[in-house]
Amino acid sequence: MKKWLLVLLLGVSAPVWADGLSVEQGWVRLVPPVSPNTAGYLMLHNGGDQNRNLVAVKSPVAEAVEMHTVVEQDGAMSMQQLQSIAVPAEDCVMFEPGANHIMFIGLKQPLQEGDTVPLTLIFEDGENLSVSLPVKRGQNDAHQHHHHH
Amino acid sequence: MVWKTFAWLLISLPALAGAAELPINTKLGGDFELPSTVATTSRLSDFKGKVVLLNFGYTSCPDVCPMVLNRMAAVLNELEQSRAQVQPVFVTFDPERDTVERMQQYLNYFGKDFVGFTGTREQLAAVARQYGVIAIAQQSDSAAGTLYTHSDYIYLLDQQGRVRALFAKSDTIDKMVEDVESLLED
Repeated sequence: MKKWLLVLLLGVSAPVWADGLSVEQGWVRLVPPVSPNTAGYLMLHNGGDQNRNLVAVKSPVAEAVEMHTVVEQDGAMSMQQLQSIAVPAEDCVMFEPGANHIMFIGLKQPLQEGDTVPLTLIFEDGENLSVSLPVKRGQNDAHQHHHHH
Repeated sequence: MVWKTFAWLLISLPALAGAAELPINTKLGGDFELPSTVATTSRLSDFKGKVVLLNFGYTSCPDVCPMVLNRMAAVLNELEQSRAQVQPVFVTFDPERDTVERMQQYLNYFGKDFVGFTGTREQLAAVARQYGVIAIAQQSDSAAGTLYTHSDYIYLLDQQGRVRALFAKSDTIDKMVEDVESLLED
Protein backbone atom coordinates (compact mmCIF):
# COMPACT_ATOMS: atom_id res chain seq x y z
CA MET A 1 0.00 0.00 0.00
CA LYS A 2 1.22 3.44 -0.80
CA LYS A 3 2.27 5.34 2.29
CA TRP A 4 -0.03 8.25 1.47
CA LEU A 5 -3.03 5.96 1.30
CA LEU A 6 -2.18 4.69 4.74
CA VAL A 7 -1.95 8.25 6.00
CA LEU A 8 -5.37 9.00 4.50
CA LEU A 9 -6.93 5.90 6.03
CA LEU A 10 -5.52 6.75 9.42
CA GLY A 11 -6.97 10.23 9.07
CA VAL A 12 -3.77 11.87 10.29
CA SER A 13 -4.59 15.11 8.56
CA ALA A 14 -7.29 16.37 6.26
CA PRO A 15 -6.06 16.40 2.69
CA VAL A 16 -6.93 19.08 0.20
CA TRP A 17 -7.85 17.77 -3.22
CA ALA A 18 -7.70 19.28 -6.66
CA ASP A 19 -8.05 16.85 -9.46
CA GLY A 20 -6.08 14.07 -7.84
CA LEU A 21 -3.63 16.47 -6.20
CA SER A 22 -3.48 16.72 -2.45
CA VAL A 23 -1.34 18.21 0.26
CA GLU A 24 -0.83 16.80 3.73
CA GLN A 25 1.24 17.44 6.81
CA GLY A 26 2.02 20.96 5.68
CA TRP A 27 3.56 23.46 8.09
CA VAL A 28 5.55 26.67 8.07
CA ARG A 29 8.54 27.09 10.35
CA LEU A 30 8.09 29.53 13.22
CA VAL A 31 11.18 31.76 13.14
CA PRO A 32 12.32 34.60 15.40
CA PRO A 33 10.38 37.82 14.59
CA VAL A 34 13.61 39.45 13.36
CA SER A 35 14.13 36.75 10.74
CA PRO A 36 13.02 37.94 7.29
CA ASN A 37 12.69 34.48 5.78
CA THR A 38 11.23 31.14 6.65
CA ALA A 39 10.47 27.80 5.05
CA GLY A 40 7.37 25.69 4.50
CA TYR A 41 7.12 21.94 4.25
CA LEU A 42 4.50 19.52 2.98
CA MET A 43 3.79 16.24 1.28
CA LEU A 44 2.40 16.77 -2.21
CA HIS A 45 0.56 13.79 -3.68
CA ASN A 46 -0.52 13.22 -7.18
CA GLY A 47 -3.23 10.59 -7.01
CA GLY A 48 -4.23 11.18 -10.62
CA ASP A 49 -2.98 9.39 -13.71
CA GLN A 50 -1.37 12.51 -15.24
CA ASN A 51 2.18 13.59 -14.51
CA ARG A 52 2.23 17.08 -13.04
CA ASN A 53 4.82 19.78 -12.92
CA LEU A 54 4.80 22.26 -10.06
CA VAL A 55 6.10 25.52 -11.54
CA ALA A 56 5.32 28.23 -8.96
CA VAL A 57 4.19 28.85 -5.40
CA LYS A 58 2.46 32.00 -4.16
CA SER A 59 1.50 33.41 -0.79
CA PRO A 60 0.40 36.85 0.39
CA VAL A 61 2.53 36.64 3.58
CA ALA A 62 5.88 37.23 1.88
CA GLU A 63 7.37 39.47 -0.79
CA ALA A 64 8.46 36.42 -2.73
CA VAL A 65 7.89 32.68 -2.50
CA GLU A 66 10.25 30.25 -4.16
CA MET A 67 11.03 26.56 -4.28
CA HIS A 68 14.47 25.56 -3.12
CA THR A 69 16.32 22.41 -2.36
CA VAL A 70 19.34 21.73 -0.20
CA VAL A 71 22.12 19.76 -1.79
CA GLU A 72 24.86 18.32 0.36
CA GLN A 73 28.26 18.43 -1.25
CA ASP A 74 31.62 17.81 0.42
CA GLY A 75 30.16 18.40 3.87
CA ALA A 76 28.49 21.69 2.97
CA MET A 77 24.83 22.38 2.41
CA SER A 78 24.07 24.29 -0.75
CA MET A 79 20.75 25.99 -1.41
CA GLN A 80 19.52 25.71 -4.97
CA GLN A 81 16.45 27.36 -6.40
CA LEU A 82 14.11 25.06 -8.31
CA GLN A 83 12.15 26.39 -11.28
CA SER A 84 9.89 23.36 -11.29
CA ILE A 85 9.34 20.06 -9.54
CA ALA A 86 7.95 17.01 -11.30
CA VAL A 87 5.17 15.21 -9.46
CA PRO A 88 4.67 11.95 -11.36
CA ALA A 89 1.26 10.29 -11.50
CA GLU A 90 0.43 8.22 -8.45
CA ASP A 91 3.48 9.45 -6.65
CA CYS A 92 4.37 12.06 -4.08
CA VAL A 93 7.02 14.72 -3.50
CA MET A 94 8.30 15.64 -0.06
CA PHE A 95 9.17 19.12 1.11
CA GLU A 96 11.04 18.67 4.38
CA PRO A 97 13.75 20.32 6.51
CA GLY A 98 17.19 20.07 4.96
CA ALA A 99 15.79 19.09 1.56
CA ASN A 100 13.11 20.51 -0.80
CA HIS A 101 11.36 23.43 0.83
CA ILE A 102 9.13 26.38 0.05
CA MET A 103 11.02 29.55 0.87
CA PHE A 104 9.07 32.56 2.09
CA ILE A 105 11.29 35.57 1.47
CA GLY A 106 10.69 38.96 3.05
CA LEU A 107 7.88 38.18 5.47
CA LYS A 108 5.50 41.15 5.50
CA GLN A 109 4.97 40.69 9.23
CA PRO A 110 6.32 38.19 11.74
CA LEU A 111 4.39 34.93 11.82
CA GLN A 112 3.04 33.70 15.14
CA GLU A 113 2.63 30.14 16.30
CA GLY A 114 -0.86 29.01 15.35
CA ASP A 115 -1.21 31.40 12.37
CA THR A 116 -2.16 29.83 9.09
CA VAL A 117 -0.34 30.71 5.90
CA PRO A 118 -2.27 30.58 2.62
CA LEU A 119 -0.26 28.98 -0.14
CA THR A 120 -1.17 28.40 -3.78
CA LEU A 121 0.63 25.75 -5.76
CA ILE A 122 0.60 26.43 -9.48
CA PHE A 123 1.10 23.62 -11.96
CA GLU A 124 2.29 23.81 -15.53
CA ASP A 125 -1.07 22.69 -16.94
CA GLY A 126 -2.80 25.65 -15.25
CA GLU A 127 -4.12 23.64 -12.31
CA ASN A 128 -3.98 25.51 -9.00
CA LEU A 129 -4.10 24.05 -5.52
CA SER A 130 -4.74 26.37 -2.59
CA VAL A 131 -3.88 25.20 0.89
CA SER A 132 -3.48 26.64 4.36
CA LEU A 133 -0.38 25.73 6.35
CA PRO A 134 -0.16 26.13 10.13
CA VAL A 135 2.83 27.93 11.64
CA LYS A 136 4.67 25.59 14.01
CA ARG A 137 7.88 25.32 15.95
CA GLY A 138 10.33 22.97 14.26
CA GLN A 139 9.91 20.15 16.74
CA ASN A 140 10.44 17.62 13.97
CA ASP A 141 14.01 18.85 13.64
CA ALA A 142 14.94 16.73 16.61
CA HIS A 143 14.11 13.54 14.81
CA GLN A 144 14.89 14.11 11.16
CA HIS A 145 12.70 11.54 9.47
CA HIS A 146 13.68 11.03 5.91
CA HIS A 147 11.16 9.58 3.55
CA HIS A 148 12.33 7.77 0.52
CA HIS A 149 9.99 6.80 -2.23
CA MET B 1 51.47 0.09 46.40
CA VAL B 2 50.45 -2.09 43.52
CA TRP B 3 46.96 -2.64 44.88
CA LYS B 4 46.59 1.09 45.42
CA THR B 5 47.36 1.74 41.76
CA PHE B 6 44.95 -1.01 40.83
CA ALA B 7 42.20 0.46 43.00
CA TRP B 8 42.82 3.89 41.51
CA LEU B 9 42.52 2.42 38.02
CA LEU B 10 39.24 0.75 38.90
CA ILE B 11 37.82 3.97 40.27
CA SER B 12 38.98 6.08 37.35
CA LEU B 13 38.22 3.63 34.56
CA PRO B 14 34.65 4.79 33.94
CA ALA B 15 35.84 8.40 33.72
CA LEU B 16 38.70 7.43 31.44
CA ALA B 17 36.32 5.43 29.25
CA GLY B 18 34.02 8.45 28.97
CA ALA B 19 36.88 10.71 27.96
CA ALA B 20 38.32 8.17 25.55
CA GLU B 21 35.08 8.12 23.57
CA LEU B 22 35.54 11.78 22.73
CA PRO B 23 39.11 12.25 21.59
CA ILE B 24 40.53 15.75 21.57
CA ASN B 25 40.50 17.15 18.05
CA THR B 26 43.91 18.76 17.69
CA LYS B 27 43.33 20.06 14.14
CA LEU B 28 40.32 22.26 14.76
CA GLY B 29 39.40 24.96 17.22
CA GLY B 30 40.99 27.69 19.24
CA ASP B 31 40.08 30.90 20.97
CA PHE B 32 38.79 34.04 19.27
CA GLU B 33 37.78 37.55 20.27
CA LEU B 34 34.86 39.23 18.50
CA PRO B 35 31.95 41.62 19.07
CA SER B 36 29.24 39.63 20.83
CA THR B 37 25.64 39.83 21.96
CA VAL B 38 26.75 40.10 25.61
CA ALA B 39 29.63 42.58 25.46
CA THR B 40 31.42 44.95 23.09
CA THR B 41 33.87 42.12 22.58
CA SER B 42 33.95 38.69 24.12
CA ARG B 43 36.35 35.80 23.90
CA LEU B 44 35.28 32.22 23.47
CA SER B 45 37.61 31.51 26.41
CA ASP B 46 35.31 33.65 28.60
CA PHE B 47 33.26 30.45 28.79
CA LYS B 48 36.13 28.30 30.04
CA GLY B 49 34.86 25.94 32.69
CA LYS B 50 31.66 25.34 30.74
CA VAL B 51 30.98 22.84 28.02
CA VAL B 52 30.26 24.77 24.79
CA LEU B 53 27.92 23.90 21.94
CA LEU B 54 29.11 25.98 18.99
CA ASN B 55 27.46 26.50 15.62
CA PHE B 56 28.08 28.73 12.59
CA GLY B 57 25.29 30.14 10.43
CA TYR B 58 23.33 33.25 9.46
CA THR B 59 19.99 34.64 10.55
CA SER B 60 18.54 35.00 7.04
CA CYS B 61 18.94 31.26 6.52
CA PRO B 62 15.40 29.94 6.08
CA ASP B 63 15.88 26.22 6.52
CA VAL B 64 19.16 24.72 7.70
CA CYS B 65 20.29 27.20 10.40
CA PRO B 66 17.02 27.40 12.35
CA MET B 67 16.85 23.62 12.17
CA VAL B 68 20.35 23.26 13.66
CA LEU B 69 19.67 25.88 16.35
CA ASN B 70 16.44 24.07 17.24
CA ARG B 71 18.53 20.93 17.68
CA MET B 72 20.94 22.77 19.98
CA ALA B 73 17.99 24.11 21.99
CA ALA B 74 16.54 20.58 22.20
CA VAL B 75 19.82 19.28 23.67
CA LEU B 76 19.90 22.08 26.25
CA ASN B 77 16.28 21.48 27.20
CA GLU B 78 17.10 17.85 27.95
CA LEU B 79 19.84 18.82 30.39
CA GLU B 80 17.65 20.50 33.04
CA GLN B 81 19.88 21.19 36.10
CA SER B 82 23.19 20.92 34.26
CA ARG B 83 22.07 23.40 31.57
CA ALA B 84 23.87 26.22 33.39
CA GLN B 85 27.14 24.35 32.83
CA VAL B 86 26.65 24.35 29.06
CA GLN B 87 27.06 27.45 26.90
CA PRO B 88 25.35 27.67 23.50
CA VAL B 89 27.31 29.84 21.04
CA PHE B 90 26.41 30.97 17.51
CA VAL B 91 28.89 32.62 15.15
CA THR B 92 27.60 34.27 11.99
CA PHE B 93 29.40 34.32 8.68
CA ASP B 94 27.09 37.06 7.32
CA PRO B 95 28.29 40.27 9.03
CA GLU B 96 26.55 42.63 6.58
CA ARG B 97 23.10 41.50 7.67
CA ASP B 98 23.83 40.04 11.11
CA THR B 99 24.30 42.98 13.44
CA VAL B 100 24.69 42.39 17.17
CA GLU B 101 21.16 43.71 17.73
CA ARG B 102 19.62 41.43 15.14
CA MET B 103 21.48 38.42 16.51
CA GLN B 104 20.32 39.21 20.06
CA GLN B 105 16.69 39.14 18.95
CA TYR B 106 17.23 36.08 16.80
CA LEU B 107 19.05 33.98 19.40
CA ASN B 108 16.72 34.95 22.23
CA TYR B 109 14.06 32.90 20.49
CA PHE B 110 16.14 29.72 20.81
CA GLY B 111 17.15 30.38 24.42
CA LYS B 112 18.02 33.33 26.63
CA ASP B 113 21.47 31.84 27.27
CA PHE B 114 22.52 31.75 23.58
CA VAL B 115 25.48 34.03 22.84
CA GLY B 116 26.16 35.30 19.34
CA PHE B 117 29.40 36.53 17.77
CA THR B 118 29.82 38.70 14.71
CA GLY B 119 32.69 40.79 13.35
CA THR B 120 34.28 41.93 10.14
CA ARG B 121 34.25 39.60 7.17
CA GLU B 122 38.01 39.01 7.68
CA GLN B 123 37.65 38.24 11.39
CA LEU B 124 34.81 35.80 10.76
CA ALA B 125 36.67 34.12 7.91
CA ALA B 126 39.63 33.58 10.25
CA VAL B 127 37.44 31.95 12.89
CA ALA B 128 35.71 29.82 10.24
CA ARG B 129 39.16 28.63 9.11
CA GLN B 130 40.10 27.71 12.71
CA TYR B 131 37.06 25.46 12.90
CA GLY B 132 37.13 24.15 9.33
CA VAL B 133 33.80 25.81 8.55
CA ILE B 134 32.78 26.08 4.92
CA ALA B 135 30.77 29.25 4.14
CA ILE B 136 30.60 30.42 0.56
CA ALA B 137 28.36 33.33 -0.42
CA GLN B 138 26.31 32.22 -3.34
CA GLN B 139 24.91 34.64 -5.88
CA SER B 140 21.59 33.56 -7.29
CA ASP B 141 18.48 34.90 -8.96
CA SER B 142 16.59 34.21 -5.76
CA ALA B 143 14.74 37.09 -4.11
CA ALA B 144 16.51 36.00 -0.91
CA GLY B 145 19.68 37.69 -2.14
CA THR B 146 22.88 36.17 -0.83
CA LEU B 147 22.47 32.61 0.36
CA TYR B 148 25.37 30.59 1.69
CA THR B 149 26.66 27.18 0.85
CA HIS B 150 27.80 26.12 4.27
CA SER B 151 28.69 23.31 6.61
CA ASP B 152 26.33 22.90 9.53
CA TYR B 153 28.11 20.94 12.26
CA ILE B 154 27.49 21.54 15.94
CA TYR B 155 30.89 21.60 17.68
CA LEU B 156 31.16 20.18 21.17
CA LEU B 157 33.90 21.90 23.18
CA ASP B 158 35.04 20.76 26.58
CA GLN B 159 35.61 22.96 29.64
CA GLN B 160 39.07 23.87 28.32
CA GLY B 161 37.69 24.96 24.95
CA ARG B 162 39.03 21.92 23.09
CA VAL B 163 36.95 20.43 20.25
CA ARG B 164 35.74 17.00 21.35
CA ALA B 165 33.04 16.19 18.78
CA LEU B 166 31.34 17.43 15.64
CA PHE B 167 27.65 16.61 15.41
CA ALA B 168 26.02 16.17 12.02
CA LYS B 169 22.31 16.19 11.30
CA SER B 170 22.31 12.40 11.48
CA ASP B 171 23.28 12.51 15.17
CA THR B 172 20.28 12.15 17.44
CA ILE B 173 19.45 14.54 20.28
CA ASP B 174 20.01 11.62 22.69
CA LYS B 175 23.51 11.02 21.35
CA MET B 176 24.40 14.72 21.71
CA VAL B 177 22.99 14.84 25.26
CA GLU B 178 24.98 11.72 26.15
CA ASP B 179 28.23 13.26 24.87
CA VAL B 180 27.60 16.57 26.66
CA GLU B 181 26.91 14.69 29.88
CA SER B 182 30.06 12.59 29.50
CA LEU B 183 32.08 15.84 29.46
CA LEU B 184 30.19 17.20 32.46
CA GLU B 185 31.06 14.04 34.37
CA ASP B 186 34.78 14.18 33.54
